[in-house]
Amino acid sequence: MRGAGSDPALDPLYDAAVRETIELFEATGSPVITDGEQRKYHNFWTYSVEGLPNTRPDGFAIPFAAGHVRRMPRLVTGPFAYRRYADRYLEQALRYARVPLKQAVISPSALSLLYPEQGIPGYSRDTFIEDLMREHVTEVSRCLEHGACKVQIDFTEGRLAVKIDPSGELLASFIDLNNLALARFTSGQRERLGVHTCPGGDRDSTHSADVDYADLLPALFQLNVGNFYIALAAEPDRVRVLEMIRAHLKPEHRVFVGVISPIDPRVETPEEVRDRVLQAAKYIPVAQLGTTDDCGFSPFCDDLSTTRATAFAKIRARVQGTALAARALGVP
Amino acid sequence: MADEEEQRRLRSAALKNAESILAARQRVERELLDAKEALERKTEELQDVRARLEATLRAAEIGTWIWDIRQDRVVLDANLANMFEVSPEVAAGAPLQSYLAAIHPEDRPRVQAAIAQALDSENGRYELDFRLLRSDGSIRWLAVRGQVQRDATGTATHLPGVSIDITARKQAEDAVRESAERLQLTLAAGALGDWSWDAKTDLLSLGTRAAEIFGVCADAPLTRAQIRELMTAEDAERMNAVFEDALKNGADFHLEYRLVRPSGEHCWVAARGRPVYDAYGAPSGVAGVVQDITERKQSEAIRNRLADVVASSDDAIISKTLDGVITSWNQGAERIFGYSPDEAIGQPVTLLIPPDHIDEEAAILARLRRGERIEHYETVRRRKDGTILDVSLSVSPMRDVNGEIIGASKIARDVTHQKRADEALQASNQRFRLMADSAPALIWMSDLTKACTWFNQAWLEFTGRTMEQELGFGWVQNIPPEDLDRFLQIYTESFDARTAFKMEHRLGCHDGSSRWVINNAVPLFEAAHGGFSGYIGSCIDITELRQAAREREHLLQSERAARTEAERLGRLKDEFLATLSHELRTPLNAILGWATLLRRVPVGSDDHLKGLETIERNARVQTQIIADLLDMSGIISGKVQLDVQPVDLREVISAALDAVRPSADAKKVRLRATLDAKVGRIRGDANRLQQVLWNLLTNAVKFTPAGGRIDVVLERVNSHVEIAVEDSGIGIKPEFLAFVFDRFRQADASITRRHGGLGLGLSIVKHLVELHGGSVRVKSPGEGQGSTFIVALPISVVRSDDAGRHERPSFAEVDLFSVKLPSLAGITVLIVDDEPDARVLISRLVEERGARAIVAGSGEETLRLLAAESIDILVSDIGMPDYDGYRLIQAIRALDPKRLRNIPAIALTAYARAEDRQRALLAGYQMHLSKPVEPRELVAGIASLVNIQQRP
Repeated sequence: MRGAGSDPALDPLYDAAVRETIELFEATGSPVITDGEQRKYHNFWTYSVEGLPNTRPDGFAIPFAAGHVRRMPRLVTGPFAYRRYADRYLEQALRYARVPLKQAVISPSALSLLYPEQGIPGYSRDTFIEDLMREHVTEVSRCLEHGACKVQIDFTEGRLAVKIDPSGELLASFIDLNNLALARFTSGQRERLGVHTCPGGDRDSTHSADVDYADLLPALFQLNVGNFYIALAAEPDRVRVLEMIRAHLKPEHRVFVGVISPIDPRVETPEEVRDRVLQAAKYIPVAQLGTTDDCGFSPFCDDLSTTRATAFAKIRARVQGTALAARALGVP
Repeated sequence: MADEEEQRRLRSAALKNAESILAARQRVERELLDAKEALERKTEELQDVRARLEATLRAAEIGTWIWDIRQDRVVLDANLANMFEVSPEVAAGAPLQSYLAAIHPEDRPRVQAAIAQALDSENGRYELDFRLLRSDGSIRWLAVRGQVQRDATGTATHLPGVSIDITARKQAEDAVRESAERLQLTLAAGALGDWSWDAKTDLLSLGTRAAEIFGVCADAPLTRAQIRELMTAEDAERMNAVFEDALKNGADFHLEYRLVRPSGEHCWVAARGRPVYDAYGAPSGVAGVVQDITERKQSEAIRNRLADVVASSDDAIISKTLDGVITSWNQGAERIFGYSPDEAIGQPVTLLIPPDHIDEEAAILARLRRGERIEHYETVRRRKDGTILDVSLSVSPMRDVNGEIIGASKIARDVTHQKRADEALQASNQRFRLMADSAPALIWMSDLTKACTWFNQAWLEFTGRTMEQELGFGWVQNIPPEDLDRFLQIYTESFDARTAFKMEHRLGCHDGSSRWVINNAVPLFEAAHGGFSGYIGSCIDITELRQAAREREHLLQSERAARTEAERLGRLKDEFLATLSHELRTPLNAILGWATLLRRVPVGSDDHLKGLETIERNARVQTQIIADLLDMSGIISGKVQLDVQPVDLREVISAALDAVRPSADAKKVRLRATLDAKVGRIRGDANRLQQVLWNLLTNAVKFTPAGGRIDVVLERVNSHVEIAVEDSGIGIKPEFLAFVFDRFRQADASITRRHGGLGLGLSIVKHLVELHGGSVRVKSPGEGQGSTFIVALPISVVRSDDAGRHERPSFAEVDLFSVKLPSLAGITVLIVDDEPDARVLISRLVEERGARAIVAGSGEETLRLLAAESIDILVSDIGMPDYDGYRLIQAIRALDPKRLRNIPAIALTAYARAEDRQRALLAGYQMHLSKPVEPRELVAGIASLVNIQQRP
């Protein structure tokens, strides 16, 4: 890594990967696609701050069930600013895409863990929180301006917050922080924003699958956005989760339920997907219902768990299964 | 444990962040609260403002309305509902059409058009006045103003506005308009314009007619500064004073002043004004009328001017009755006749007539009664002091308003002085013509019409024509046709501009020839009043002067050209000398350098041999340079003579190719020859032709880079043969092609540096070819694209006996390098040279071939040795101090005995030109060899002269 970009020698390779991903993604028939996060080779959490000169690599560790950890950078001096915004990935993807693009960004609450416990002399925690919100709003605004049809804020740390602090205080604080940032958008913009939650898929493992959605979902639906992308496929008791969603869903919300489990090496069949959608439709009004994958296919530089062929086979199953369900539900 | 500790720290950090997030949230909530309170305050203020506004609108009888365009609902406030006589329910929302019905039928189309225009226009403004027809038949005037509102897509959504009842204002306006119309009619009848000045605004408003008088637009009031601009400064001051006085004293005023309208037109106006007072009795301005009095003022001015003219005239202007009684008498009359007006008026006019002219008056009066005018009647009159005057009388009848003749006006001019002046002028003219006739110049005069009125005697004698022939425009025939247009143009233009002119032209002479003259003319202006009266001009014969000037100019041009050529040649010479110096010094450098080195290297070593080869090669280069120079010298002086023999060009070309082949090979330049066998012999000098070919080939090799090629083609073309030498070398720039064969020319300095040489080779080629009656040309597509030199030689018939004659041995046959040298054993050679080195060298050369060498350093020593020794042959230098080679051989040829007198002698000299050779042979030498001499040539020459056959 040099400067704010990648090694120029790798650029043509990444470019080819993005183009291929988009071609394959479009080939699945998905009405909305992403760039597969090909350029977030660091990971989905810290891509925006990797390489910041005022950080050290010895930040907090996010432990995963499989035993590995993702260690965050630690901020050592202020002021804080992103090193890169996700709209640069979007810009590149837009060159090849022919269908609407969704861009994922990391939430401010996830990045709030950059600031160390003992504080930073001369750079207060309050100032950091302000800088963080400004940077997040900047990133999302740039993505919207560049033409993302939706911007999905990754809030994978929601469940993690419950795990770290079962009292719920930390989760409430995360919700507050994200809502403070969301308040800076217009209602029209917020209709194009969504929040994604999952137990944190990484190397076919999770960091918080053991946290009950019941501790998360009531707070999650307090987030002031129009769209929710909720991992569901890998949940052991999907009906229970659907009941919770129904209980907290507001008329202005749209919920995209996970019907594909990326960390499951088996490719779901379209019929399985169809059945999952039909099941969800019993709890969520069809007009407010959408489908998604539980999580991304984690194409990060050190995650080789899922092949590209598997990933697109799963996505194709989602598209086909959703279409089957739509026909069954009489949705045009 | 470590993981647990890390989890604890993560939780701790996250919860500390939570505190900051909470603080941030509280800040935002506080800000929201503040904003909400501020909004509530603003809302309350807005409601207050709205209430006040509504009250104000009600008080001002202003109604508000809004038309929801998409819903087609017009909402009226209470004021307007009352005006339109609609119920509150209808006023809360009714279609537009329902309101249009209440509008006066004449105004309805205007209202609809105004609405349509507001909806279509960019500014969306809706504005007009219209009448409302009330149910009781009365009419109310409404002024409405509105503004279209549009949504984000630009679609008109609402048209809100206000309406004001302007009925009272309209009625007042009508009354004012009627009153104004009546006033304007009144003013028009009196050709008057109305105006008013508002003291408060300091603005002057003009009625239509007043504006016309001022030449300005009636619509806009004028400021005081604008008014001042229309007046003279003096009148403006007067106007100010009059205004102030009127306001101060409440008095009317009347002022006449000049105006300069914005168009620049001048006029006179008379203004009358009266102060106007407000309700409190304070002066609020001035109102009045204005009248254009320009015509009246002009009439007055004319009358005054006439009176001034009469009064100030130098002539006597007198009026009288038909009975001859004087009724008016101006100052001129007093001055001329000496009577004062009191003395003259009432007296009979016969007072002024001498007794011997007394009858004239009766005749004059009789003519006047008949209504006749008498003009310039010259007669005499008598002054008060009794002296008699010459006068010129002009008398006109005077009529009353009915046209009846009631008297006469008489102008009497004292012409006594004029008569004297005329006489003096005649005498002066007589003197002028005498002088002009006796002048050597040709003098002419013309009048206002450009026609000539007089020529002096010299002119008439020169042209051989009479005055009658020349007068008017007859003189034009003297101007030759080739000069006529130019002459007439200058003559006419000068005439029209009244300027002097001076031109050279030819003029026909009485003997039929044309001679050049310089014609000087000036316009004539009358001394008395400066009026232009024509031209006077004089011509002087300059034929000889022009001839001399032309010759001088010719000489000047010749001299200039010669100087330019000399400068050019000088430059060429300088360049050549620089080149020559370089070319001579370059081999010298190698020679001298190696000569020094050779002292230090063992004889027979590789270095020794290499040094000798280098010295020899460079010496040969120098020899070639000198040979070229001598050739060129011979060519320039025309001393090159061809030894014309039948020549086989193929042999010549082959020999030349053989000569350059070593250098071509060394440079890896390929040589090819295509020699047409059908080309027969031509007549020419084989050696010189070979020199031509050698030069072209050497040149080609020099300018062709390694790996290139040179093609030589010999072929017959029509009646001549052509030898083409084509190379793939550096080529020639198009602009240099024309100079290729010039002496001392090479393409440019850089080439000169890169390729040595004097630039003589091609010049020699050209001369030698031309000596053969041929030509040489060059072509090159351009730089880097090679060159082709083509020598064309005439095919002259070679007689058959030519072919059988002994032909001069070809170059190859006499090549001294290729023949075995004869021995000189038994021969004693006397070597004469003032240079010891030269003596040693020649001695060594002949001794090597077995001869005995005796040396002498001077002429005296030579003669002594000749007498003392048995000498077989003499080899002598020419350029020696005191006793040169010519004197020496002449002395020897005069010796006795015969043996000494006839001794064979070779001149060996650095004087190498053709004429040097000739002189040496004429002086008595049998052979002339030039330095540096080829050893083989010298040995062969000695052998030849002592008649020794080649020995083993």
